[in-house]
Amino acid sequence: MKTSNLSKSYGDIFAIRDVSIEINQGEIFGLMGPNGAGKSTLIRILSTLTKSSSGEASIFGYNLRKDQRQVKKLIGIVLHHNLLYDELTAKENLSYYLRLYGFRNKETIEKIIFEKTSQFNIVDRVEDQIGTLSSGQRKRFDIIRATIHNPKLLLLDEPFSGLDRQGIAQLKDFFNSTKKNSTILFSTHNQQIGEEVSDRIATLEKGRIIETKTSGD
Amino acid sequence: MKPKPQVTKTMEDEVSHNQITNFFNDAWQILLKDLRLELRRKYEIYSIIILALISNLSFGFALGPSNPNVTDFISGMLWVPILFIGMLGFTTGFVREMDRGSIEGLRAAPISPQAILAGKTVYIFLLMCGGAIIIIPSSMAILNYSFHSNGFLVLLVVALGILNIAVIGSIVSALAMYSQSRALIIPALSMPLLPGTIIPSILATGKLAVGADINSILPELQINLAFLLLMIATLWITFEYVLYD
Repeated sequence: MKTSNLSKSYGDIFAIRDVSIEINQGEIFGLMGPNGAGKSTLIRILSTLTKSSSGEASIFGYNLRKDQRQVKKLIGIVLHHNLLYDELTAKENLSYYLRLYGFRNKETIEKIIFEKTSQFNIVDRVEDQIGTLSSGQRKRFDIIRATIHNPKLLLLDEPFSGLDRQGIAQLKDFFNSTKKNSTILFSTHNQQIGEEVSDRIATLEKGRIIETKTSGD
Repeated sequence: MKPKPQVTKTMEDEVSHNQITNFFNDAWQILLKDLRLELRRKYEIYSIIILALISNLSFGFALGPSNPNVTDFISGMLWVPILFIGMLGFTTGFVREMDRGSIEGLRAAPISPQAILAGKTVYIFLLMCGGAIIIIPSSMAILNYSFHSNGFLVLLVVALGILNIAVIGSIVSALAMYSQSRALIIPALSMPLLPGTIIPSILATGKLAVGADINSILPELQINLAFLLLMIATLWITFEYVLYD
């Protein structure tokens, strides 16, 4: 994934400014910075949800503006709020998203849901309505939703917030196991988690990248 | 340029790449999800049933049973509650997806914007049809009138009118969802568009109530059909920009 002088402005105010980063395949890349630094804006732009004002970005060679459909097939996103429907069960939600990604076979869908929910130790809650679950459980199902189609690039905005200690540990394990097949870009304001999980970290401040370092430096 | 990878081979095998079947599948999944949500929530279904029955009972008490002039008013009496049910559907279309934040899930999914539009429009259409199924027979029973032998034509006029309202509802709901003042914008945008289909629908229903044949309602049917094609064409071309820009 590569961005080149990516900027997003609202009138005179820049949410991000001249952001240029390159993330290698299989890398876990952390975005750190205070609230309002531009982390969420950058993730929204890379998710195709917000259009940049200027600059270029490409994901696995696909241009973010021109090849949106291809890019969408390759990415999975987790935002601040979950994208699940409270009135539907977790299984109905996951099945719905899988079908939107082109999966048709009922047995395959059930198998994928079982495998993914087992990974997060939450398989016994798949028949529960999302609205009846705790915020941590919802968050886990939302992360499963984002990864259910095996995306090649995972974009996660504050994925560790709202998770208990067990959830954080599971997500860290998940990051490490997913790394083989996917690239991960995530944001966090927790420096300890950021450094522990990432291969590289960029620090954003007032929309600009002020520092990029390899984890452990 | 780096090689462009696809999703894991085993998963890739399971994914359908046929654009036409994907379009219908995506629209069907969105429709199914909305109907499922509607059935789980229930309170909107109860609102529709109560609105349909109360409006008919009110007109029944106002006009009295077996009023000989009922056919002069019946078309208006039928279309007002149908329109109200439509307005209910407008807000549940796109605006609720926006309010709960799930619209981002649709926008980020690799699906055609027109499939989203089709799913939402058919949902509003079915919601209104459900209302009409209660409103029309109950008004015939309460107000003691019939459409003579024009049952099929009434269905045609009502279905076409409802489809037009559903299409208007989809675009109005989609246009309003990004606005902070969507509660005001939905009725404000609907107002200039709805008469284009409501007036011919009311006129045609009124004619059928007094026993007119298909030739008498042809102009209204043509206007409604032309309106529908025009709205669909406009929506088809512009909806992508409405959703993503």
